[in-house]
Amino acid sequence: MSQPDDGQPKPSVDEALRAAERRKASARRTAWIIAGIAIAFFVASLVHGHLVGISNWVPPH
Amino acid sequence: MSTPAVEVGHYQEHHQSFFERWFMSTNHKDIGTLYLCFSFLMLFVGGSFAMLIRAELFEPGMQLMQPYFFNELTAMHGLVMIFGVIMPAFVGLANWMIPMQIGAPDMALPRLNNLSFWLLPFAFILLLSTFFMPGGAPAAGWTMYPPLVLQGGESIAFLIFSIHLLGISSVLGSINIIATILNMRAPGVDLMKMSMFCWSWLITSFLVIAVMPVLSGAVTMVLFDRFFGTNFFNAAAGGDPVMYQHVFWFFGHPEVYIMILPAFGIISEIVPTFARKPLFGYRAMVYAIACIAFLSFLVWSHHMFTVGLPLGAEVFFMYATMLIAVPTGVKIFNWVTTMWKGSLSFETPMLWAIGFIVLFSIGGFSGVMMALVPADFQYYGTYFIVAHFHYVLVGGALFSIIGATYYWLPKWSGHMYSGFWSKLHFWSSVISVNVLFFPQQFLGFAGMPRRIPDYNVAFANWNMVSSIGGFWFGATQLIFVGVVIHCVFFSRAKASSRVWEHAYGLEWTLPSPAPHHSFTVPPVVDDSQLVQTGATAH
Repeated sequence: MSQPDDGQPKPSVDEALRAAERRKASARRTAWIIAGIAIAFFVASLVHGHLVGISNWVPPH
Repeated sequence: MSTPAVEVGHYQEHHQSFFERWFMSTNHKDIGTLYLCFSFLMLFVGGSFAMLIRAELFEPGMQLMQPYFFNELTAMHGLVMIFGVIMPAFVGLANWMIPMQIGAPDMALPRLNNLSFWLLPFAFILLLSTFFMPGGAPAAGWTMYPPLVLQGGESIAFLIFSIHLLGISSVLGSINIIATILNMRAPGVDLMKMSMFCWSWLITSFLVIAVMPVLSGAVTMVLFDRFFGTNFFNAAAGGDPVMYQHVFWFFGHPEVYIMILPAFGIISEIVPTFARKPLFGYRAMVYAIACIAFLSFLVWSHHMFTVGLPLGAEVFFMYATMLIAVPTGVKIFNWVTTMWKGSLSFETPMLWAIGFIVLFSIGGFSGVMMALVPADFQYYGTYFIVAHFHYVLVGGALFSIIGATYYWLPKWSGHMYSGFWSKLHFWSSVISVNVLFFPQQFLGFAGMPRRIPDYNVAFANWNMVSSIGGFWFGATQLIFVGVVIHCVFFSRAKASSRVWEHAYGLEWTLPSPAPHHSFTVPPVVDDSQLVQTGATAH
């Protein structure tokens, strides 16, 4: 890691906090999208089983 | 360690009681420690089942237990080792290392992290409690095939609920890892400059997201067949038991890679450090992991060659399976090439990494043998399969976890461990694991079926050798317990921040032991800090 006194302007505390909040919000969005994908795979496996079952289903006597 | 670019105070440490720290923690290191301790405990639970199995198989005839209890032990050994040891250990390592390697203060979703861990103990209390239920624990193998699993006692409901909890835990953990890696990297830590361990976990997380819900779907259908009158898998009512195998192995084969891709990441961290060279072919290693992950979705039916698939399907799955050997071979080649003409030294983590490469290759080669459809008809359901997946999961996954522990333990604890005892642990393990599993290949070739408590006297000698190896390997792991406890609580040898001379990566810029929060502000990173990945070498 380079040292901070490299001539670059340092971010203020407020800017750093806002950047952290932005990252948090972005992480939450990512989490919901991935959770949606996981739920889709769960539902897809049940639908697959259901459709295969329907085509072969014999009513119980 | 650099001076942070800006001071932000909202991550200050504060005093926590024992209960707050270990039961309510949202800190990635504490949760990582909980995961690792939990998997350590479960290693001995699952290991004790293995000791009982090997004791029963020490000689022909029924020695110690009833056949049904033997079947309970084989099923529970598999479930405990997969879901209770290997997966939580890798998640524990991910919790500890990913924020430190990408320059983040913590995981992106710390409370979700807490929930992910605390689902595990309850799931395993449910699972292990089935031993004490009328009808006993589930005894249909870790694969839980119907109709056999439907013929067990009431404990199947507990099994399925615990699988659901474990699935939720894994999915939540993976969501957290993906969100962390995609959103929390410090400026300068580009994706193609990230450590191989982070890369391996990013890809593994997508595998978990895709396949754990499918396992949940499969066992949900089993639950409905058993208790709610559906007939998904009941052939007598038009259901299809083979469909369960398809759905299960659509989960099951990527699951194999969930248990080995993080190991690839660990080995890719250790080998360059002790070869004192950048990792050979960093980009190729990343693409190889992605390629293995993609192909893992296309090979599930190689677990079902003998079930009566159409010939075209068998040929497809045979070639797809053999194709996986290509990116895997790239990885083995690159590890060996990293060592080639390096200034090698053989500290304890390096020994485990080299042990991994050799033993995983043995397991990998026998896997290619089984990919051949005609040959698989001979191997299927024999001890050859048992030897194969134990070489991959013990010689591969477990060796990498132990190697990772020896690699990062000084960073975690701030102390060095005993070189003598840790190396004795390695040499005793690597010899005993071969005494344990190599003879099982001979037994499999000779036709000894798996999951049986008694066997023909023709198999007696190699079974005795295998059992001796098993007891030896099990006892050897007590050395590991001693080394870790001594290092954490009693060692006086302080570890420096860069514990290993040629270790590169952001985690080594932190003091040892690492502070409660890793990087309270994003570090300013230049490429020379990431040379371990080879990111600056191309």
